[in-house]
Amino acid sequence: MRAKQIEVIVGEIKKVNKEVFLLSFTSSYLAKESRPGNFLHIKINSTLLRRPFSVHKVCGRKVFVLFKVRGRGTNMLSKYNKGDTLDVIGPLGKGFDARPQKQSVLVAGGIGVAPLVFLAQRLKKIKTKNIVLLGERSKKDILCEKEFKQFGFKVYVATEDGSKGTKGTVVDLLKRQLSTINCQLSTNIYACGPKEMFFKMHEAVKAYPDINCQVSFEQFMGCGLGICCGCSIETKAGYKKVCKDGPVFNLGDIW
Amino acid sequence: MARNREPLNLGVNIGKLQLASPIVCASGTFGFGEELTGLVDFSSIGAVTTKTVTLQPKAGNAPPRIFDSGCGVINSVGLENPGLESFLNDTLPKIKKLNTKFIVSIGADTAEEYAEIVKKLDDVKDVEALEANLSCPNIKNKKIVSQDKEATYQLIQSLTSLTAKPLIVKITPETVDIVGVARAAASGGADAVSLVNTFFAMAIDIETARPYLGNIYGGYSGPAIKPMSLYRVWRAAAGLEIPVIGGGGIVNAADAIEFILAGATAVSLGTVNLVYPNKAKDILGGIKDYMVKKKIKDVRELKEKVPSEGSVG
Repeated sequence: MRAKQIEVIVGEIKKVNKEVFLLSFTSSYLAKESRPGNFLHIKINSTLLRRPFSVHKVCGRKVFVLFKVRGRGTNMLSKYNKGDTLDVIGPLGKGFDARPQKQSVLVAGGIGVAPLVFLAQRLKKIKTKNIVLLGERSKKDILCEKEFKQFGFKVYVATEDGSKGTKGTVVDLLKRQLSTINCQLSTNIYACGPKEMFFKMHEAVKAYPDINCQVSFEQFMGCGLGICCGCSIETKAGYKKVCKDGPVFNLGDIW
Repeated sequence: MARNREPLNLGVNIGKLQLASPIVCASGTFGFGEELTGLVDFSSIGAVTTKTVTLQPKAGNAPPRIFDSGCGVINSVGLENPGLESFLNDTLPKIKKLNTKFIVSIGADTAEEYAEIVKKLDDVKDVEALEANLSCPNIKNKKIVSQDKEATYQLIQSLTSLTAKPLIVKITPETVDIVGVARAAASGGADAVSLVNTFFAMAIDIETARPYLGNIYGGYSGPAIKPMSLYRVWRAAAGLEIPVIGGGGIVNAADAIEFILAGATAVSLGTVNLVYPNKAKDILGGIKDYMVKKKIKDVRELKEKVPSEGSVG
């Protein structure tokens, strides 16, 4: 197994907006071994099980985790300070298969943007036309727009309240992209967000069977190592483990 | 100086099964063991109990299947496994190379199916011991055999006559007579009993007014159940003529020592493996430190230091 159990020291933890935090630590091993779409299983005080977080980006030996406060674990993690110790198992899971196609379209639903920045870091090295679609509730919630622009991505935004970009969802933006001839010819789609978003994407892309669409799933997890079968999701081929068979699946294997 | 010390004996016998360490990894919390190669020191583990294997592949229950209550874990996995044939062809060749022994956990819906699995595994040289999982809480509309001492006796008696391999019986804590069930397993010819499996439990999301688990309810494990598990092990072990593998909520060496003092010959680690897969190494180290401190050379001397009920004045 490539994964190791490693103790790391929180280097920085910064509030990005009301609910989202950016945490970083230094680990040569995790920085070198992590691939876009991999996750880290982190032990947080006050929870019994570890919590999975995708690798947000890697800069040199620094590893970044971007997370939203949603429950007890993430709330506690947001209260960690610089210098605190974290017990991490990683890198884990099957990540994105970054293919050199003419065009890559990244689809981020809310905090699902987290692993896509790492993917964008890698995709910019492959000479393709890169687009990212960001979906959020409101303008103030939009994350990582600047970074994608720095990586040479064309950024489109959708907000539910219409305060920035298109009023609507990120899948509405995707549908618009799909209607262009360029997109239909040679495109890979990479997405992370809620399951409902993936279902809408499935409806939108099923008319284009040649488009490869990879999606990173989220599920409550036990071990993260493929031993407890706690995180299984339903696929066309039966239950699959998000931690080991995923978290990245081909959308066509789900519905 | 360390080299002048007599070596500590950490080996225990579970019937005919000799273990180099008193630590057993509980079924369902360690996969088949081989998944953890590179992350775990197998030499600290006396035996790995495999995920429960059934005759046919089993898909398991509807997700979500796991819930963390903060002090315990509710699971409703429902015995997802690849089935006996895949286990024998694909998994067994890998796990026999691990530096530990392994116990194959088996599950079935009927006595006939149990008999068929036992017969098939009895023919396989590399299988060292069997554990009949008579205690999974996640089997819809089916009775948990080990809730009933007569049913336990009947089934175990029919199985022990079919195999020369050590047979361990995994018992539920959800019975009014755990002492009777453990004794029924022993009378039926079991080589050991393992207890406890999980307690029935559920959790509800008050925002959506829906249960967190797809199966509505599941089995509760982890540190929250330790005092209840310890009590049941202490009860069941008293006067029992076969060894007890005791566990339920062990997270550190002190917990493990408590179970041995209460009468367990070996201890099983469950939920803690999900969080710290290499925990057996720490716990074995802690048991050794305790033995040195208490000037005990043999782990078997620790057993049943705590008096049984009748002997409390």
